[in-house]
Amino acid sequence: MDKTRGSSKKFTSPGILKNIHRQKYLLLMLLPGLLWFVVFKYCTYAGLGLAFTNYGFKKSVDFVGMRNFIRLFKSVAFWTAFKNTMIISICNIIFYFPFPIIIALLINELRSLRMKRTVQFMIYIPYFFSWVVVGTIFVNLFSPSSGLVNQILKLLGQDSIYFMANPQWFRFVLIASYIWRQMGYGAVIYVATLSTVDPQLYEAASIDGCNKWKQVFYITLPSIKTTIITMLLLNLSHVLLIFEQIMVMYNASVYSVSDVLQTYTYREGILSGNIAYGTSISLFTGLVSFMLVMGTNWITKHFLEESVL
Amino acid sequence: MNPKSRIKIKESNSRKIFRLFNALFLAVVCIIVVIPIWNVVVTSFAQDQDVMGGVYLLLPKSFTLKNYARVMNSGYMRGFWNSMFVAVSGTALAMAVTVPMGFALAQKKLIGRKIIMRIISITLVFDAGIMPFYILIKTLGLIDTRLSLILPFAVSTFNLIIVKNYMSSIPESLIESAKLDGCNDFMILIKIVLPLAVPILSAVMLFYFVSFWNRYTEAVMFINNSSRYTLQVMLRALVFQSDGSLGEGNAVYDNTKMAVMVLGMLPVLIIYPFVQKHFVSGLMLGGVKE
Amino acid sequence: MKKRGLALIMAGAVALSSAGCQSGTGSRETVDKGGETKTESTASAGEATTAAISSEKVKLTICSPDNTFGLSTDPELQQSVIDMLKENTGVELEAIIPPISSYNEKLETMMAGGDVPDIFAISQATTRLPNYVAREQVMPLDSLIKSSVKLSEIDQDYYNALAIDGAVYDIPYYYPRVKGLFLRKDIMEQYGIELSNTPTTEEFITEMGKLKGTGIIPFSFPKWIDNFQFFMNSFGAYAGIYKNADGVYVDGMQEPQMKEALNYLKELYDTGVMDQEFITTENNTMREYVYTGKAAADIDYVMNYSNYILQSELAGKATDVQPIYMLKGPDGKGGGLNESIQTAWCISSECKNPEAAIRVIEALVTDPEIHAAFYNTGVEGKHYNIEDGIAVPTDKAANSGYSIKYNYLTDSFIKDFTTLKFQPDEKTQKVLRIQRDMIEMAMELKGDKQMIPSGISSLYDETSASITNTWKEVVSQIVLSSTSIDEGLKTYKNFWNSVDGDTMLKELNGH
Repeated sequence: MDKTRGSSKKFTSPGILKNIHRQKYLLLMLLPGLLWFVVFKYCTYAGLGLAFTNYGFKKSVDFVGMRNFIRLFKSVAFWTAFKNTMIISICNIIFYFPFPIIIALLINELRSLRMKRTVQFMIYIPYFFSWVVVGTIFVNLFSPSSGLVNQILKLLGQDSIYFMANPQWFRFVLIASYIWRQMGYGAVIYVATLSTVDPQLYEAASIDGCNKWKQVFYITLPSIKTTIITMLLLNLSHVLLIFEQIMVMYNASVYSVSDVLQTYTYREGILSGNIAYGTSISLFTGLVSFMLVMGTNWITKHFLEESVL
Repeated sequence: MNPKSRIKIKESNSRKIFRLFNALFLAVVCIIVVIPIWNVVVTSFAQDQDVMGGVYLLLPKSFTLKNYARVMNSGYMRGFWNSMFVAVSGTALAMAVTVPMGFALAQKKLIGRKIIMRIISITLVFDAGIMPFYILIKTLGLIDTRLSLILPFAVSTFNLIIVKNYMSSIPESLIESAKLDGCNDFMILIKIVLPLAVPILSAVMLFYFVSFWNRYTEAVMFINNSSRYTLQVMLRALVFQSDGSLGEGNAVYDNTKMAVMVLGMLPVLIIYPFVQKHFVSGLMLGGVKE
Repeated sequence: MKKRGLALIMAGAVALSSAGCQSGTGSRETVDKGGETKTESTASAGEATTAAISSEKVKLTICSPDNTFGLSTDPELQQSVIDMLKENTGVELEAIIPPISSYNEKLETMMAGGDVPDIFAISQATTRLPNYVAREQVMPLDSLIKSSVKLSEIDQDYYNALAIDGAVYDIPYYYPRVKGLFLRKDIMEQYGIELSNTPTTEEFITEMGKLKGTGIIPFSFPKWIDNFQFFMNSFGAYAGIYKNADGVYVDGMQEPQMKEALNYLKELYDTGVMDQEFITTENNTMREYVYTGKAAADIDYVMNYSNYILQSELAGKATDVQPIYMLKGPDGKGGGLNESIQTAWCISSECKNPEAAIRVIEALVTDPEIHAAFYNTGVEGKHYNIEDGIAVPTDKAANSGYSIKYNYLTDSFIKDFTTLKFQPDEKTQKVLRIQRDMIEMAMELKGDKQMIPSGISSLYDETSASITNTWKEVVSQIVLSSTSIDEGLKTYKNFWNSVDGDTMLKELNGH
């Protein structure tokens, strides 16, 4: 808050016009993008006001105050969806998040450039598929009768598992497919960041007798700390919006473990035509998302002395 | 023999073992990742009778290009070219907006930079949902135009931050000296910064392309005329054409479906190798606020 | 910062709500103008608009999924059907043709955004139409139907099937759809399976059990849990809220006979008769299994019979299939899966020219040539060419997922298709005659289907989607043995209490 006030003070100073003139090209470059943010982001936020109306269900639109939110907080299905969203999001963060970092560290250890590129390429391919395709691929892969996973289980003398229908296993499928599709994308960014670490640091460290493990913890990870935290916050910011993946993969028998805020919004808001109610869920999701990201930002600021927002 | 060199030998032995295991491990990871894709590719080349009734093919039983011929002659190619148009022009526009904006934001002296960064970072966490978005698109008169799949996605905050951070890392002295030579900010961007930023720009370009290419929900919401449908819309209809209320019952076997899926990732697969050589250097994600 | 953001949101809310209010008042006026009776109001509004129309043509939008408009997804071919419709009715039309898999979400988005198509097809009509009526999105059609001779000829029962408070809001275009089971006759003969058209539940399990260990799936089933109702009918059970014999709304999941039905379904699955992977099986896949002989039986619309003959032949596994219309339960109860009128035509309450709209619908529903073209065959010279009195698909059409099926001959309200320039070949005609008889049989043996009006209990309107979801989940978990029957029903009961289900029933029953 203080900083904002500081910069607004600058705005009022008489030198501002001169400054603007000097930076006219820069400002011109900024303009289209800024306009885009105002139109396509902030104008849609105005629509969030619908959350306080009864838009959609009746022809006339009336202000209904907090009625949608009261219904929301009283709805059991909503809290189930909220719980599932949090569980799936947190699992995604815990299990998915370290993967690209580890893979990137390992790729970084490869000597041959060609091998590096081949590995990167292979693990990046799944990202080219849309979720519809990934959904089909996983249904086939996990099929109890013909799917590869169960064929392997059978070879090992295990009973086959109907992963897609089993409430205990379905979240595993969600996280596995998430890792499968997104891992390469994350790894590419980390590998690129790792290439910017100064090699002299490693040389110095090995002369000091640091083994490889210590180098990872004292040199590599600190050098990519900012990237890791930024990726974490960016992941957190859209993790609550998980939708398409669930939409193409879930089925009736796993609703209670996989119905998330976005699927709930889709069903109650879009498919039932109750737009105001759907919007109130969007607003709520936004607030939770905001708190999640800001909270994490605060934690990293205090414990890792690094804040990116 | 001095002790130091002994350590080195010992280390290099353990290093060798580590590297061997590392290579093996990554090979296993690659195989696990690629197997499901391999299945898609093999199935897409199989004859009808080899895929009837759901089998998981890893070894090709038969090889035919018939499925691809079928797809090439069908309406899916129209979807393919629609997607191509949206993805190419979308990526071009996105780059044209993102790069100058990223460059401007990378200049520490920019007026109101902190506020602008705040405005941008808020959009990372707030998503208004599809309805306000639809109403906006409608107000702008973009419903049922290809532009509705391009304009609203011209900036990705994530990509903007990547570009901005990279450009902040370009030494200020370079820019200052160009200024002394009488370059304005536009010329600096084009002559000095862009050549230096090739790696990051190619990565961002790929990210944009993939996001335009795979977009689905909005394509259904905003487009009315089937001649403008993208491949993803058609692909989804192909996989889930089972609403059940009418039950047409034309059998479309897995091999044809998989051929469309392969078609759906082909462009990105082709672009990737051109872009990849730049990835290894210099992609950086610094803070958002700086 | 905070304040500014809040102000922005509020400003937006005001702007949007005032925009909404304008359209709201507009519609209220039309209702007020007409006075007491709804029918009068629309008639007068209609007259007023036709006068304006004759001088200036109004373009109407028509929205229907992509398995209509000639069954081909090629835009050019679709356009040829639209043009045909325009020529025949003299109404300027603009078509919106969403993919069938996203039809409802597209329609809802357009409605919410205020772009309600003038003429639109609705699917899942029994649940969606009451919702549209409550939201005043659709126009009452009684007087418009009366003004059309051809539409008046359709049996009033079919209009009444979806009538709400005595008013008709939809125009159906085919008989109520009924689902039964189809069995491959070749597999039946090979393995000595003997089942009549109406076997008992026990017979079904024992006979289909003969296929155990053969590698053939005895009974293929799709992921859509609604289909379980077919088996529930045999026990007099009904999933969801329904009006029982005493005319009282009750919750089917909590009636005692539901337990028996669930027991039977569980047995079907546990004995391996039902496809072990049904919950990930799309309708297409299920059919494909039967076409190719990977499965012996499945559940499908009776009117799809001819598809089974045709497609199994195409797959190189030609066979006849035998329908099972119902399974007799222990008390002799049972019935086919009645999906009632699932798709029908509606006119937007904002439509500027209802007269023209009804003309278009009339053509679609009652004109043999247009009905055939729209729902299946398309346009001569574009979709097909006539060779020796038989229609042959053009290359362009054949490549866009088009084939000629003649199903329209058996389930539309049109009695006479002899005016068409082409007729199906001998063999197909024979198959269609059989199909026609099957449909009649199925209509006689169909089970119950109920529609609960919206707007009576706000509690019901708000929670009905959750109730449906919950019973589907509980039932599928019971069948898949993820939970026991008692546990599952307990879970359901807990849910029921949490949404205050008893109060809801009281509201529905008018207490």
